[in-house]
Amino acid sequence: MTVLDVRPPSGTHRERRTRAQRLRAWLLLHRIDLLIVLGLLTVAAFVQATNLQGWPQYFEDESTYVSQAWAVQTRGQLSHYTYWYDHPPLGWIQMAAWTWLTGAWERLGSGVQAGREVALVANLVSTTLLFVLARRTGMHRAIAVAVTLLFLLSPLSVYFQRMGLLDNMLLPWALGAFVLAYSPRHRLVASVGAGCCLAIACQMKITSGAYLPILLWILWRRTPKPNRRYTLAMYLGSFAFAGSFWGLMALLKGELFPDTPEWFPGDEHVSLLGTQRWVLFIRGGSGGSIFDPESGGYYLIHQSLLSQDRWLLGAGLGAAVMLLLVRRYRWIGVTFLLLCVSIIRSTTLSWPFFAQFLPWAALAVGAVLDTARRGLTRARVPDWAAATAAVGVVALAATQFAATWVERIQLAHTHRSNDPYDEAADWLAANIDPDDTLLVDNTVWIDLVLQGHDPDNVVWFWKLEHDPEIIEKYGDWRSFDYVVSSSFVRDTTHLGMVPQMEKAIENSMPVAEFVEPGFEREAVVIGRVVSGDVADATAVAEPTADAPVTPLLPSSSLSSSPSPPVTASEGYIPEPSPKNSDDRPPDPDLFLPGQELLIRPLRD
Amino acid sequence: MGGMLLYTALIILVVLFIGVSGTTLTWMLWAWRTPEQVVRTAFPPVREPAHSFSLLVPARHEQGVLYDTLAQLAEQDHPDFEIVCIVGHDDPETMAVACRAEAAFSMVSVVVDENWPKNKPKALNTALPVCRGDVVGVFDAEDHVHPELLRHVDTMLQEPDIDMVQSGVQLMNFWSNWYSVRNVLEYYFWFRSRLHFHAAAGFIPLGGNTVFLRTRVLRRYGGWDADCLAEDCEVGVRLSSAGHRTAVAYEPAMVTREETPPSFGSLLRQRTRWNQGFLQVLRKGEWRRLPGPRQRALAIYTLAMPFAQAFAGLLIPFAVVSVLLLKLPVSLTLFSFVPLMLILLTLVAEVVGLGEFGRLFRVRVRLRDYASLVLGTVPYQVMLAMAAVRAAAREYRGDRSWEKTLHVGAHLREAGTGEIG
Repeated sequence: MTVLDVRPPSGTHRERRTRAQRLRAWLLLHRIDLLIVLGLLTVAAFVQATNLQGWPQYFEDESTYVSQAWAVQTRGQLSHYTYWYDHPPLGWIQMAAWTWLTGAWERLGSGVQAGREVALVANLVSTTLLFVLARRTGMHRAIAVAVTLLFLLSPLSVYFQRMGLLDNMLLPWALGAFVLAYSPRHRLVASVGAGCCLAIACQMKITSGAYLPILLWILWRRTPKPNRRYTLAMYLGSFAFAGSFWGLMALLKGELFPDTPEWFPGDEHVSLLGTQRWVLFIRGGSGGSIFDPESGGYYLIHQSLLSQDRWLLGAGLGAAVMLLLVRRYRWIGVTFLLLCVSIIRSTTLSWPFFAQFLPWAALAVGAVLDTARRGLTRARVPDWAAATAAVGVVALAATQFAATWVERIQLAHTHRSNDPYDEAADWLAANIDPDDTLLVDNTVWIDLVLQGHDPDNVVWFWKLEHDPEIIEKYGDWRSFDYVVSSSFVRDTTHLGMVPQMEKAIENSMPVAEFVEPGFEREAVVIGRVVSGDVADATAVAEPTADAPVTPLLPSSSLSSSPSPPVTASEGYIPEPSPKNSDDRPPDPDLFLPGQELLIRPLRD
Repeated sequence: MGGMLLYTALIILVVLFIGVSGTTLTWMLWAWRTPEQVVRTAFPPVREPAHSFSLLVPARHEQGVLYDTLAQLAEQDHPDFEIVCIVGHDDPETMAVACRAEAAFSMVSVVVDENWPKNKPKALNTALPVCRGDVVGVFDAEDHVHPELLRHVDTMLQEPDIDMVQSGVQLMNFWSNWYSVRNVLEYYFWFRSRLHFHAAAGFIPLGGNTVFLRTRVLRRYGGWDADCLAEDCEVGVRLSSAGHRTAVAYEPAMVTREETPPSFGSLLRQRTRWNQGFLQVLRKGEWRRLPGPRQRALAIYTLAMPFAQAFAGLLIPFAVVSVLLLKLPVSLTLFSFVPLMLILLTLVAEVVGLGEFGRLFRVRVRLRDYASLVLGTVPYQVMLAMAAVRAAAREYRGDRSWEKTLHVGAHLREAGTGEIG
């Protein structure tokens, strides 16, 4: 029964006092966990925040998202070009909220760094939530700390978590959904929260939908009978309704369905279903099987991923398989294996997707350790023996990993991968006229626009290839005064996906080149476009380097491969060209830390 | 400028809709917010009886169902109770049935109400002086009451300082017609969940039956308000405002079973009467004496809810048209869909509730019942809006006549011969 208690107004006073007391009691009860989280956050901030803009090298996707965040904040549009439903927009809307609230553009003057700041904040939240999740699943406090440290300190984490990727943006929401599904009191509202959090994550990147059945399973297993049905229904309902906004937006804009069944190529009308169909079914095949040593996927896994850290993912995989036998933690194993299967099954490998593997790998390892701990406790193993075993495990792990991990963090803290970009931006600010038109990549695009350059005079090169609006407006490469190219772009022009950019580079005279410390090749080249008119070419402001006018790379003939869609094929692995032996992965022994983005063949 | 004004108006409207649909959903599911809460809403374990009861049964043109109700009430498993049946002096058929029951059961007595025009509070007030029990309970002539109810209520009254008890009332016949399934679920969520929220939050509109009040308290405050169309709600507000505590409990086995109004017209009239009654209680202003601002706000919100709903109902078409026809910014249009999402979520909860209702009361719920639940959403809202508008119009005209609900005993799964009172 419930009692309606009518008390004189002093009653509310008393209630208020009890609320304060309740807060005090809560803080007191959780003081150790709170202190631990504070410590973990300090570690996270130290590892990640230092030299945030210097390492790793700027990644095209990062600059794409910040450019889109800029468009959201300053123009109220979802993209700086036509939004084409490649990803749901909530990830960069979240970024825009941060840049707007903190005045990040004015404060930083660098686009990508703003995105990395958001990643830092998201990662701090993820760190907290991962610890809470580990505790809520029943792991020992020490093991929960170990899980969180694995998530924070493993070389792959140090690498991925610094970047302003959608996967980093959505991780707090995805982890939040799991934390809520583990509501200690089985609150109904927590299931609504879990559904909404997952819906938000899905509207940052739709692959988060993979977590839907796992969460349903957790809720079904955990919730006691009296409110189980409502819990499941509210979870699914809130997910469905909160998750429908992206589709609803497309519907309202008349951009849900494609005009023609075969959307690509040639359709000038963007549509959610058309793009997603292309992403999921048509563009496939380029990544290839990760078990085929000739494929881009194999290259990605082996050269770029496992060369950085084979232990966390390997241990996670082993742990996940073991967990299939452990009832309490089975879902963690299944989650990790589900991610693995989705990578193996998908025809296009999404490089940043691996950022989402990290917390689950760490949790799986922690779950195995905790299962062992429970076994020891059940077997009545004396405390001193258990402690010795724990110390042994830690010591073994330390001898194995400590050196590489510390080395990696030192690299992250000191290496200046992106100086060429910053210098290029400075050079451009000092040497070009406001009326000059530039063909650039997104990193330069956002920096130039932040410097005050008219966005109409700076064009992201992908759009000149594939956005009908931009093609109509600018024609071709001859309309541009300068072309700014990164080594990645120059290394991949021969694949034929960006013929205009290729022509522009071919017909340009380098006026400035910027080299990454420790490397010999130019990371960024600024070229003056020479469109046949020699007089025009000589009118260039004096070049800073005596570089040859000849193109930097031998140009291959234009490829006959089908044209990709309206914009940059994010998450797209170019087919390794059989004709060009230069495209082979470099010798692993020559692989230098910090270089992986130069050789990375994949964009997401 | 005009555009900005329209946008602002639309945003305010959407926020209001979100508030109304959000609170409706939250309170509807309040009892299920944690598993312990579900258990907590039930009766406490039964103790030895310590009170005597007077059960009042006002009846008017209800000769078809009255005898069974009285006979059933007489079987209460409680050592000390009387049944007082109140009939009008102009209603010989019902009086005959009541007298037959008086002769058959020792604890039944009949009181004749000579007031004119007749209404329920007057009938109850007529019986109040003759009540011998410590506690007065009110039942309707068609109620189907569980034989152990009084023992449970007795136990609740033994908790410290409890002066009022409300136990669950449940419409049963969701299978009867298109609106009955919604009507049944309204009761289900109200008594199962929302009433407990109201009790915890400090403001309760009591129901019309299966409600128990201490006789001395009731007499001290002069009984029921004879001019109020929602006398049940009014007395609850008046006693709460004076500091008397209410306890509410719900247990499926223990609920008083009732039937939905037999026709759309009678449903509309019943709802109009309640709404007008709420309006009267609101105007009377006893709620101003509630102790906390939160309770007063809740009182206003609850009593005015039918009108907020009607207002919302009238504005929804306007909102839909403006969203679809005016070229609004997409973000604003998306925002205006949030209340719709909440309404759909409420519908999901109702579907789950209907399934649970079927299991709890062991009635088979067929696919067409779910269909009428879903398809009936909009027509039922229209009915609620109509009732609110009618109530406001009647109150404005000063028309406070009693539009009584017809009862045919459909919940007993047998044909009745009731008439409109």
